[in-house]
Amino acid sequence: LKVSKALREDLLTSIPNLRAFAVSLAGNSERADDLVQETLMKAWAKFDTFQEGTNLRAWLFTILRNEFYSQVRKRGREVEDAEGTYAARLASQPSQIGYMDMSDFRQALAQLPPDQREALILVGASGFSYEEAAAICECAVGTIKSRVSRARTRLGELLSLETGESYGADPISASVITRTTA
Amino acid sequence: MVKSVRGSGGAKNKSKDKKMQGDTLGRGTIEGQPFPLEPIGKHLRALYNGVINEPVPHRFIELLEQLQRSSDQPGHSKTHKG
Repeated sequence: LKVSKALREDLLTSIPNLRAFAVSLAGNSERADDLVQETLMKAWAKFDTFQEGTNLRAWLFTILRNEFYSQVRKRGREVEDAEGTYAARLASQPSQIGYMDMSDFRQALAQLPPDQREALILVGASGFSYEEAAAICECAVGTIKSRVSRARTRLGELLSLETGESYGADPISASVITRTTA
Repeated sequence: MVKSVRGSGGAKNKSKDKKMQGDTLGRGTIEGQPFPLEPIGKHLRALYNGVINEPVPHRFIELLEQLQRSSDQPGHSKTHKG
């Protein structure tokens, strides 16, 4: 099986994104990197099924996500270590943005149901469109929208965000739009 | 009497093709979110980008090189040429 140079380079540049997503799913960082490793190997083995020119990142995310949930099923465990999501990463993060403490935010994020957290991250941080996120999670677009919506509402409650603040330009959609049309 | 229906806007239909994404991608369009999206988005991305900005661990670079080598020599995965 020949993998083109361009594809290899794309694979390499996808790794940071894959790691960030893996950490959001698996929490602890060792397990996240194992997931990424597994994903790269699986992707390599079935590159013949990938249509060059289509969205490689979405394809890889799908593999990673399937791998994660199949591990969860095999181990007979619920999605674990949500508390650890991004926890080991504090050193590389600002401790506070604006008035909100980063660790408060992280804890609130950890309290979300996994499906909601996942949808929020795919759309709000990974920069996928709702359609792409739906394809990755193998569910309806409406399901993703409702998960994101519920996730936002719940986070707002947990963090006691006041209404009426910072409506203006919403950087979530702004970043999503620039990224997907790029 | 049947009037022929002229396609007065035949070419104009293309304007419908413009990306739906602007509408579907947030900007508070999710059924009128009653709370600010901005702080959540910022924090979410700060966490996420914290990982993205880490250097790629060497194990992955090695892995890709290894996969490449094994693709280059079809058949067995021999490490040395005899």
